[in-house]
Amino acid sequence: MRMNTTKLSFYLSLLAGVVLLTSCKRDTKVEDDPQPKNNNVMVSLSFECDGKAITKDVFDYTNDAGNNYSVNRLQFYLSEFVFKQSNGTEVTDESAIYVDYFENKGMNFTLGKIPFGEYDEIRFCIGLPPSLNVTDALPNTLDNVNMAWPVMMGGGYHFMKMEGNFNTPSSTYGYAVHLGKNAFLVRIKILQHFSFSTSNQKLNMKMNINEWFRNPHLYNLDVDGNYTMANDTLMAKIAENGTDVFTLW
Amino acid sequence: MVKKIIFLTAAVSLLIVTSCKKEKDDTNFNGAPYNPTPYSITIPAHFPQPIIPASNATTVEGVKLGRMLYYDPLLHPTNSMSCSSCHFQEFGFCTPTNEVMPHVNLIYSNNFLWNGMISGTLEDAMRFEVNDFFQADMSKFQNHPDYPRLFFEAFGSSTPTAENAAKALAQFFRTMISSDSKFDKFLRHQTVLTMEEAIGFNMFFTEKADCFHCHSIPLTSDYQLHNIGLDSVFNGVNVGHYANSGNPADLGKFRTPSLKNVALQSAFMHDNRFSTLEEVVEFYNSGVKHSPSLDPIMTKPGKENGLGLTAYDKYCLVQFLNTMTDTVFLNNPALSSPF
Repeated sequence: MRMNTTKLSFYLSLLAGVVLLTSCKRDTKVEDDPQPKNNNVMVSLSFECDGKAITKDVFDYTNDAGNNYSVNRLQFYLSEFVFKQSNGTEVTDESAIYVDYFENKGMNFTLGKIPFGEYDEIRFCIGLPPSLNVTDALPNTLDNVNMAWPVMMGGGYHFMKMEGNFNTPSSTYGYAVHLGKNAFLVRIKILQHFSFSTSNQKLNMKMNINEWFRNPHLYNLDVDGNYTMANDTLMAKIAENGTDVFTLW
Repeated sequence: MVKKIIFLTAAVSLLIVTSCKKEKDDTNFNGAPYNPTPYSITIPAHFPQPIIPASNATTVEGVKLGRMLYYDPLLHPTNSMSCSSCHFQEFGFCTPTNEVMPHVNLIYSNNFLWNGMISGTLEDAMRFEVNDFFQADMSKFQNHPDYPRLFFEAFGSSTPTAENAAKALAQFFRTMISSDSKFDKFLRHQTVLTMEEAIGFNMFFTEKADCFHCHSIPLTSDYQLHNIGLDSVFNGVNVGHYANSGNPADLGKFRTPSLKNVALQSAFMHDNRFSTLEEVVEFYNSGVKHSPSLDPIMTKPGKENGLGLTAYDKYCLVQFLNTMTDTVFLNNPALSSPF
C-alpha cells in the first residue's frame, strides 16, 4: 500500500521532531546513584561570641578574663564523628573537615550514611586523629599545606589557628592561639537529644569562641600568653577549655 | 508534491545538523579548524594540586599565545615595554634591583600585587594588567599578521580581545612553576643540605625564627596578606592593603612573596628598603616595629626584643635562603622569549 504524500510529510515532520529532541543529548551520562542519599546529614556551622556574631577585625568581644579582643583568623579541622543512637548503637564517620570561617570554607558539609532515628549523643574532635596527624597524610591542597605543623616540631597539622588582636591598658597586641600535637586533640561530647528523618537531615552546630578562654581554665591573653604554639602548657589549657565550645541548636 | 517532500527532508536535515552545533565558534581560520590541544601542567609531587578555572582550561595554543603576549611590547600603547621588561627570567621573573614581585608559582595565588590590590584568579589579575596597567589597544593585535590566527587557535575567535589576552596570559603564568631548587630537591629527598643550610632550615621551620607560618612548605608563601612590622607609622605606599580596603586593620599588610630565587635579588620588601638578605634577616631578628595591625605571629611573648639570633644563626639562615635558587626555572626554554 502506498502512503499518500500528506501522511508522508506528517511522519517525516514527526520523525524530525523526535530526532531534534533526542540528538542534542549530552554525551556525559549522569549515573543513577545506587545508594539513596536519604541518610546523609548536612552539618551547618555557625560562630558567635556570647551571642554576638563574629566579624573580622572588630574589637567587639570580651572574654571572662576581661580581654577585649578581635578575630582575624579562625581555621580548624573537625574529625572523628560518632553519632550515638538512643538504642545505644554508634555510627561513625571518619571524614576530616577543614573549616575556615572567614574564607567560608567547610561551613556546611555532609556526613554520609547516618541512619534515620533518635540520637542522644554526638562526639567529634577539633583537630585530627593520630592516624591523620602525620605530615602529608591529608590530600595535598593549599589549605592543608598552610595548616602543616613543621616536621621538626613533630609533624602533622595545626588542629586550629585562631588569631586576632587584644587591647591592654597600654596598647594593642596580637594573639595566636594555635593547637597541634596529638596530646592536644580537642574531644567534644554533646549529650543532647536529636533525630534524623526524611524531613530532618540537618544538624546545626554553633561555636562560641569565648569558651576557648574559660572552663576549666580562665585564660588571660595578657597574663597566660598570647602565643600558644610550642608551649604545651598553654595548648593544654586551650584544649581543655575547648571541649564545650560547640553546642547544637 | 515530491519536490515538497525533498524540500522538507532537506530542511529537516539542515535543522538536525545545525541544532547540534557546539556553542563555541568552530569556523575555520584560513582553512584550519579550531582544535585546541589540552595542555597538562606538570605539578611536582611535593606541590599542592592547584585549582584551575573551568572557564579557562589550559591549552597548548593558549599557553603559546600567553607566552608571546608576555614578551611582546605590542601590549603597551607605545610598544615600549612588555611584562618581560621588568620580569627577567634570569632573575626569577623579577627585577633584582627594585620591588617588582617575581612571577613564580602564581598558579596558587589568589592575592596579587604587593598590597593585594587584586584578589581572585590569575584571570582577574591579568585583566587588570591588560586593561589597567598596559591599557592595551587590542586593535593593534587585530592588524598584526600573526595574532588573529594565534587568538583563533587559542580561543576560536580571530578577533583579539582584552579578555582573551588576559586568559592567555593566565594560562602562561600557570606554567611558570619553580620546583627544582636545592630546597625542593631536599624536600624530595634527592639531595642533602650542608650543615649551615640545615641549621638555617631548622630555624626557618621552627619557632626559633618562625618564618614558616607565612613562608610555608613547599611553596614558601601562603599567598596571604600580613603586616610583618616594617613600620609603626604608615604613609604612602607603606599603608599596604589599607589602600584598597580602607580598613585600619589592613595597615602595613602586604602579600607574602615567594622566596624562590630570593638570593638573586638586591632589593627587598615592597619599597626596596633592604638591599641584602643579611639586612632582611636582621630586620626579623631585631627590627620588627609594633603597631595595632602587626600580624599576631610577630608578637610572641619573650621575643619583644627580637628573635635573639646569633651571628652564626643569621649566617645559617642566609645559607638556607641561598638554596632557593632554581637554575632549571631560570633557564627553562619553555618560559623564555619566543622572539
